[in-house]
Amino acid sequence: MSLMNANPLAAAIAGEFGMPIVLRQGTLHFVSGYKLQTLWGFREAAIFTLEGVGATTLAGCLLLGWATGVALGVALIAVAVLLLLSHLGHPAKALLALRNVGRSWISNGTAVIGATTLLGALYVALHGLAGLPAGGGWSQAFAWLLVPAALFILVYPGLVLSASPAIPFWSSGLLPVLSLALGLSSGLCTLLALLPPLGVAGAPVEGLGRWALLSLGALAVCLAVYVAVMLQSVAAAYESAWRLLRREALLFWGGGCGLGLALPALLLALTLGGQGPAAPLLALGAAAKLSGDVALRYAIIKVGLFDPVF
Amino acid sequence: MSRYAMVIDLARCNGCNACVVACKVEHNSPNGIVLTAILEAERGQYPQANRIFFPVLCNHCERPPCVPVCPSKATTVRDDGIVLVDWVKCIGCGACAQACPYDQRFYVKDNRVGFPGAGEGFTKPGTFKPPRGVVVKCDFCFHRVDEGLQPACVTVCPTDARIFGDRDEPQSRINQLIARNNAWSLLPDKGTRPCVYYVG
Repeated sequence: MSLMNANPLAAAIAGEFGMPIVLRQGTLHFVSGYKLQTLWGFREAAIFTLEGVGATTLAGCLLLGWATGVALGVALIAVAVLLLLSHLGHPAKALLALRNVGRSWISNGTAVIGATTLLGALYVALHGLAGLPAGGGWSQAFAWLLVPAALFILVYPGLVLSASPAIPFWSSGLLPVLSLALGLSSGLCTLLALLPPLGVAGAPVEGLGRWALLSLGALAVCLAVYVAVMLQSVAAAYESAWRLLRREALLFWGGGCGLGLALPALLLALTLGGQGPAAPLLALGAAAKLSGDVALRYAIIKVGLFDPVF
Repeated sequence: MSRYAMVIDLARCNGCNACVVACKVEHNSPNGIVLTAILEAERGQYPQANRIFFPVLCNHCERPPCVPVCPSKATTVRDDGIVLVDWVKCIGCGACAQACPYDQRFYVKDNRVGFPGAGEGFTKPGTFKPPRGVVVKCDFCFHRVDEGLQPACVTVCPTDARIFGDRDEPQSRINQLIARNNAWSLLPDKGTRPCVYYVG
């Protein structure tokens, strides 16, 4: 397909290999044409979701002056880091990932996520052990550092995936934006579900609810734009988008759109309209949103196709 | 300074797989992983049917996309253009495998080899069995090249379909082949500038 030549044999090979076929060498099979990536999958999707929810919870609670929520955010990010270690071939060498800061997004992410976890833990320790009041001047200093870091963590999954030029469906500047919308909406839904049971005094549930609805709307727009752009893009990206809509319909439509968008939006609207008991509806909405988030991220990772070599 | 490259003459390749076997032996590559492969397909219909053989390997790109994505700087490019993975530094994140447009990086989930003692007594110095959890790829047999030898796949090719040499030597055979035969490379639109060329 992409062979650039005037050579008749090369052109014949390009024609021959242009259709996806399986080439066999003994028991080994090589697929010409489109080839699915199989290295990353559900675990990476779950890690990305946890990072997004953790970062939003951390930043949101820091701005609200709710130390328990900050601790929860840090804990979620820490769990994501632990899962991230299990994804590596050599977890013991994880710190080597800091060697290429500035060039590799994984290196940049390792540095920022590591620093955020440590700073967040320090905030919690200062509040819990030293008794410094949440929301004070020192808290603002932490917010100046941690809120931008949380924003980076939100876009980070998109940056890691978009750094793969071999997979056109991922290699898009829209993916970090989609990742931001996904993480933000999931985090806000989770935060809303946590506020009532923990009895946070003066929690702006209504205001947060509106922000959560807004983030769900933004996510819907980002997702629609992303898929539409991919359907107009190069062949491999089109094929991935087609697989996302058809072959992975359960994950995309059922999980990503149904559980991750429509149901949380409906439950939020009902809650904000005073149509039912707030706490159970918000909890159900958050659970649906989280599972939908994982499903959508998993679907996007799963349909990643390499550009055909021939 | 040398700049190594390989030309593969498709008209000469008869799909004997000697290069694949030599590579596997030389690199002691784990079961299920071949660092160079011969893709084959049937073309046409009887009585004009024939088979096409297409050797593939790491392209040792001049602008390798696998290098910047590596968080631990385990993937490096030598001055002579050979792209290598340092297994000591590789953390096994798989980012390079996702970035390679040629799908020529292989994650070692299981490093068992075909038979006990495989790989012992071959040319490459030291332990050569790749550990689990790292990424492996063709290294142009740099250990042989450093000793003035040709890569194993080139040495064993009975039809002389693989030609290895220095692109920086204007009179080298490889340069003449590239210039005279309208050589082409895979996925030129990716901007990676591969150093494996095809002619024939």
